[in-house]
Amino acid sequence: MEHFMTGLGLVASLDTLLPLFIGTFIGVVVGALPGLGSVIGITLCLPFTFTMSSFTAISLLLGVYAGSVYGGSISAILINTPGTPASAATCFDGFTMAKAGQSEKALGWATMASVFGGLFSCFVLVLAAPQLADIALRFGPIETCALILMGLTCISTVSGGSQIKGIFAGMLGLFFSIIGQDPMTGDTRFTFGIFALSGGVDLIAVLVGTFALSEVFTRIDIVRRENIGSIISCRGLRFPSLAEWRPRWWLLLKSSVIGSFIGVLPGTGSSAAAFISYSEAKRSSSRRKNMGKGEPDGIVAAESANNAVTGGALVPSLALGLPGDAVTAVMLATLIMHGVTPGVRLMVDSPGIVYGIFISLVIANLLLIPFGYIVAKGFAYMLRLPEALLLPVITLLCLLGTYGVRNSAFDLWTTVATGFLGLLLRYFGVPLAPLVIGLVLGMQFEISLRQGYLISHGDVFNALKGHPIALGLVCATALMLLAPLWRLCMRRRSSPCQTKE
Amino acid sequence: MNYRVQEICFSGTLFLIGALLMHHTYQSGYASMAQDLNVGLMFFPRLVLGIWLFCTGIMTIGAVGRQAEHRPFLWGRVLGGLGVLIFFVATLNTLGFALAGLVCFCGLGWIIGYKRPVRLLIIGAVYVVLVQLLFEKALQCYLPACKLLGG
Repeated sequence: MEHFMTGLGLVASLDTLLPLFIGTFIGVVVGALPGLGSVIGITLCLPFTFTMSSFTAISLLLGVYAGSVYGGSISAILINTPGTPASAATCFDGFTMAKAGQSEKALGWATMASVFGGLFSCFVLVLAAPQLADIALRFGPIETCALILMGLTCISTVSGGSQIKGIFAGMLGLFFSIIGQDPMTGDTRFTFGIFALSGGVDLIAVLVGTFALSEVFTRIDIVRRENIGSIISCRGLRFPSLAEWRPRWWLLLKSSVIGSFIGVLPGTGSSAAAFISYSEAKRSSSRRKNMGKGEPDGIVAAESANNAVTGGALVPSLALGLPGDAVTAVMLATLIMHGVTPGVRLMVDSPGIVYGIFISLVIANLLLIPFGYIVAKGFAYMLRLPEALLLPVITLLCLLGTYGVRNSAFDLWTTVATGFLGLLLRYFGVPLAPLVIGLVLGMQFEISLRQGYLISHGDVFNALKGHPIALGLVCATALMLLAPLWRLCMRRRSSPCQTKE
Repeated sequence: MNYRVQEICFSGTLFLIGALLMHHTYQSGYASMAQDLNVGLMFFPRLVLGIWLFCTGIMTIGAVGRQAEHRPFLWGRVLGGLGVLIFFVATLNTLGFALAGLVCFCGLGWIIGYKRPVRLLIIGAVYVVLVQLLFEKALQCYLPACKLLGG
């Protein structure tokens, strides 16, 4: 209690609250602008932290982090362009709901799910950080490989009608993740002498091209051929009722647990959490048949999981001094610059700071509601433009967002090329979602697969026997893949019986 | 060209690309890399490309068995839009964002169907300036200037 009050004392001052407010707003705006994302938001604010106290600096960055992860859902829902990779899964149902005239509702679902996921992970952070850090240490390459394999089963669940085309799209995404330097040896693969490819294909460029530009190309055809006006109208944000939430409480809680847990594991991140959670929802939700066609469950699963990562990601950072991704690495660097050493001793030497961070994250997540409303209103004004003006606005914004990541013209070429590829895939009925899943999870999967193979000397069976966590995950994955086949068999068995009757 | 033929060409091309990439993985340069590792750097790519070939083979066979149908699609307009984007990317560093962006905005707007050229030009100019200010002043992300004007 004493440490909690110390933390509260750190937060409850204008010097901390004002940067927290500003950071959260900047995070939501930057997250909503396609291609920019958390890292750019954090990088923008970093110079301002040099003159701040350590705690104020961390509060500012936490606000940006929480805001940007949520902000990506706004553009994902309204213009089918994930503002951050973590919101790619939100496009599947969010944009479909927006096309059906339910954009305000979709934004409401995303906002409340994000807030809940973020708050849930805050409580996880404060209650179980040391224990979760211990679990994180038990997660080696074999366990990570099994976990990501579970995420890759998303490919079959989001493939819709054609499983073969979906699996092909997943392989295309995995192939894109292979281009560039081999993660273990540093040798270049599939660069064909192009120097710009030695750094690999930029994730943001592919996401923006695949989702945004392919949508623009498709709309060029539809608008001219069918002579219709703007398809998305939005007046702001509308929260779902308690009655609508009631059948989704379990999904919300489960997705938040998944996100918090995955956030704890260094190197996995909010994108993996969103897809794994989406996959689990697609497997277990009673409304799974509607997922991908505008079902709120898809938004709830993805958004609560990706925001739950924010608190979970702080567990290895604060408790072990291990940053899980670029964002937490910057936050750790900020702490160290201000003389605070993260690690096992932080909880003992400066517990007030840990509780203060927890309270700041709670406030940042609560601020998502008003700031999400404001940014959604801003987007709503933009969507009133005629489509012939709206599409060029979106296109230029997306291209600049891609350019802003590395100031690289090559990324722009990648975006345009994948945009055209995305159009071809859509025209021939190949789903885009598996491509994104393969690209996001590909490199981590390859690293953990090869490391696991080396550790086990190729003896997969004994490796799984000696790693019960991995064995459990592989069994769960097998069940997830076999369950639809089982249901199909049971349905076929019962339908001949009904015919006979 | 009906949709069936288009799909056969598309799937067949993907199969061919996959086969060429698989052939590429057997290049001598890759064989000499990471020889001390049991799991070479082409282990995972070959696994992925193998599944790629399987899927595209099935897709091609499926397309052959499909009935011929016609799907209307304005390829001309779409390729025009693609051309505008290619022009933007190709000239961004030479013309600078302001000019290249203005051409891109107006070109796309015209292709999509906004047939008021003067208004389109004005809206495009205002938008390009606002976006440039947003990126350079607020986000500290500097956009290319026009080299022809000494930028």
